[in-house]
Amino acid sequence: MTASTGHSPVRRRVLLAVCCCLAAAILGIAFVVFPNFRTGEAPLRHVVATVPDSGQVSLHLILGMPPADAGLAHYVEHLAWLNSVANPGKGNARHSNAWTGEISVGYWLDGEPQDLDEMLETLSNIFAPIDLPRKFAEEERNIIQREYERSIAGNIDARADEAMNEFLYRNNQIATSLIGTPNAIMAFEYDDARALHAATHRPGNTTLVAIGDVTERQVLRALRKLKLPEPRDDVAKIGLPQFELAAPTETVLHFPSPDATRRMIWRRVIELETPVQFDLLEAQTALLRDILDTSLPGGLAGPLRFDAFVARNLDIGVWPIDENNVEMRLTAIPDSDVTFSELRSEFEDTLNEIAVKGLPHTTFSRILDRFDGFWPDWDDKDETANWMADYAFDRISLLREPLPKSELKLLAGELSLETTNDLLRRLSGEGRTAVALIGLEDLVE
Amino acid sequence: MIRFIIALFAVLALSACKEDGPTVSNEASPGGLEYTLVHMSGHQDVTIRVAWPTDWTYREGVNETAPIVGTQLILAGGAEGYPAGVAGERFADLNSEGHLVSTTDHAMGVLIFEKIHMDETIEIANAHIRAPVFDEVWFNRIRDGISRNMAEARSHPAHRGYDAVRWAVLGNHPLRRSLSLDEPRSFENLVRDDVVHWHAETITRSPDSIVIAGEVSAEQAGAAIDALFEDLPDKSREINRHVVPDFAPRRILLHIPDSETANLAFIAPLPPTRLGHEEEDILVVSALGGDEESVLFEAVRTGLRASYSFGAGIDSFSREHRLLFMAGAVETSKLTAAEKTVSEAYTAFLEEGLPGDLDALKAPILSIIEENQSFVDTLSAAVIQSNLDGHDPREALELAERMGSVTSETVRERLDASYPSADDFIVIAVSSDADALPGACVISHPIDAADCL
Repeated sequence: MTASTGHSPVRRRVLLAVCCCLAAAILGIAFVVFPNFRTGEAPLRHVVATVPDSGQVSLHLILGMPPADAGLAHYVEHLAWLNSVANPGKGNARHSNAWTGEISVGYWLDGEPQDLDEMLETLSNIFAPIDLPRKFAEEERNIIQREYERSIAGNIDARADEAMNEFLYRNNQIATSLIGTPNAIMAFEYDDARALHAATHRPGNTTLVAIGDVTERQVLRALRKLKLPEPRDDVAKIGLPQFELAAPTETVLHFPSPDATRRMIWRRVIELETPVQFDLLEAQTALLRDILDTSLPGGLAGPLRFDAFVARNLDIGVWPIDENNVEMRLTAIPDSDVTFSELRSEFEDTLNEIAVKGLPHTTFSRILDRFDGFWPDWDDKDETANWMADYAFDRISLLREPLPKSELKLLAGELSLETTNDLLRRLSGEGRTAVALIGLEDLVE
Repeated sequence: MIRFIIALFAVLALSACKEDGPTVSNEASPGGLEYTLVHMSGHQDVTIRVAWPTDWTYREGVNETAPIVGTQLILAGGAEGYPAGVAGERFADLNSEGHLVSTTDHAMGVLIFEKIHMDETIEIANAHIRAPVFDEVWFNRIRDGISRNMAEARSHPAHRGYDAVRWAVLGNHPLRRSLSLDEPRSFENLVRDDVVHWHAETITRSPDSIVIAGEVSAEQAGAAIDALFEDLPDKSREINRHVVPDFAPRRILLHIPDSETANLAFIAPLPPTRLGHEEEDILVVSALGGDEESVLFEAVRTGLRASYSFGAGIDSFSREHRLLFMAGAVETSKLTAAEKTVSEAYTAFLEEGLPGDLDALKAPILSIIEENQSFVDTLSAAVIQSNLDGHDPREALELAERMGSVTSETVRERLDASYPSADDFIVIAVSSDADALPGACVISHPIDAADCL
């Protein structure tokens, strides 16, 4: 049953390259090198991330959203999708859905590249005024209630995060709940939703992200065939909102559920002394997260989980809110004889101690060696194409401009022990801190 | 003519360029261990998968929590020469991964690593499966942690609904206790010796299947497997899995007065995968309740407007006992209507077969299959499942062809032969309204479902 291969793998790869070049030369095939994405402004702002030979295309229309009542943008998203893309046609060949983020909403439609024109036309119906029967539109609030029950009511961590967001991001758009409360959901007015839709769902406030087996030329051709609504003077492009950190202080929130595993969610937002380019800051924060997550010297897992039995589980996150502000989040499950206050003080003391001493160079180097998975293997064309497509989508969803590959490739060289230590010192210092204590404190303190 | 010759040469040149696809062969290591070798050219990564059989979950007189605690303790609690935490960091340096998961029929182990780090990865893995420390303090930490997690899970109404279904189908069989992990004090009663006992009888030189995938020769693979199993004991007992589930249709309402949500599920048996036709099943479940375009989503969300999402899927109590389920959270006041809507939609689906374009339904699944064929970890997973089903392991290389050969007629035959009618399901609802499912057996606790006949 064993098949013999005959050639060594290296020889076969060389043979492969020679043969393909030879065949291409004979047939006159030009090897086309696709850039990972192309951007343009007319007739609709667009980003095209070509993934050759995928046989599929995903179209996304992404819009900036202004501050609004909690959950209203999400209600608008439901109604606009039902009004436009809910039945995308072609049965099993197309799939569609929509999402609401903190500052943007998105609608997507997947299908086959040969249907690009028709798909784009279907998706662009999100610009049409919402014209659903009032009863149907109001019933949708009940559907959102079911969504709330699934994602928030039955999820104590999500409820804690909603409360912590409100405190940490106070006076900023991202403090507002995406879905709202049960009472707020049932109080949504259809006319308010239509008004918010009319004020935001305009081509001038929209970016098309096309990912898959299409070129920019094909997308442009399809865009030019679209009958888009005329620009309106009163609808401007909604950009990235400025984040202003409220005064440094802290809050402790209690969620005394008798059935819940005792755990602490600790979150802190700090402001940097000087702004750092967003993509670089994202890499710096991810690297710091990886270091803190280790049991090596300089990590939190050693002192809290392995050397001493303080927390039986740790989950750490560090990420940028924007170029000036960074958030750190720790979810820790205390060991059975450790109180919440002991857990918190052990954690904060350890974090401060690491920050004061600085991260050891040996640990930094060791984790940096592991960090190459943060970016794709730039020599791997397919991996890079897929990674860049996801990256472009992510950045547009955040109302940010994606960097070209050439600039992204330079970021790794800017990571240093010094900047990582600076970041750690800031995070261990003054910031706006929210702590959620979940479950019963069943120990005598 | 010249053009034809040039074109022919070009085609021949291109065909010569095609890299060899994976090959599958059954081999034996120098130490006498039988294994399946999946040779995949051009891959730097290697995966080893092992399925150790167990009947622990079918036996009286053993603590059902030992397998889940034991697997986690092996991974986290340290081993001979590797204090807790050390191996994790070393694996991270090597870009290696190791997992051990307990299912009702097997302890499933997997190692994924770069070939250049094969020796060290296997040395570390061998230490952990051969000589785990089972430190008492770590044992208590992991046992208590899982116990608390299970207590939290049981606070969710839907979770308790599935606990009730297991009481209805399996009664107080040990398999039910292993799946639900809800026996009072079972975690508290677990002692370190239980885990030592489970480890000694399970992690042996007698697995049901070993698969190694990557660009490795039989010589390299055999040596690696012998090193991984070095000094493990031979098996000490014959496996005896016996359970007779009772899938008789019943309608049960679990009344939880303070439940904020209502949940509805339909559950019925499906034949095991060893009997084939898994491709048809995947397509059926996808069309029935896979996404926003599915039959159930259309019926319950778009039509009845009772739910945010209502879907279908396949689960299992064991390899022999698979389940078809249709489930979702629904508005309490629409529970009765939702039961009727689901039942009618399913009946229509059974009669009409797959809706829409079959090729379009297959396309995303084929895409996943083809992608999975190109990775050592996913292809090795398919091969070990073939082995455990008693099939030729080479079938794992033919998944795309088999999916491609499914027709509306084969799906029709599958629906007729193996799918339950709407009346054959066990219907379970969880609600704060005791009258929400008229005529149902109303219970207050999952255990009461055993008496719903």
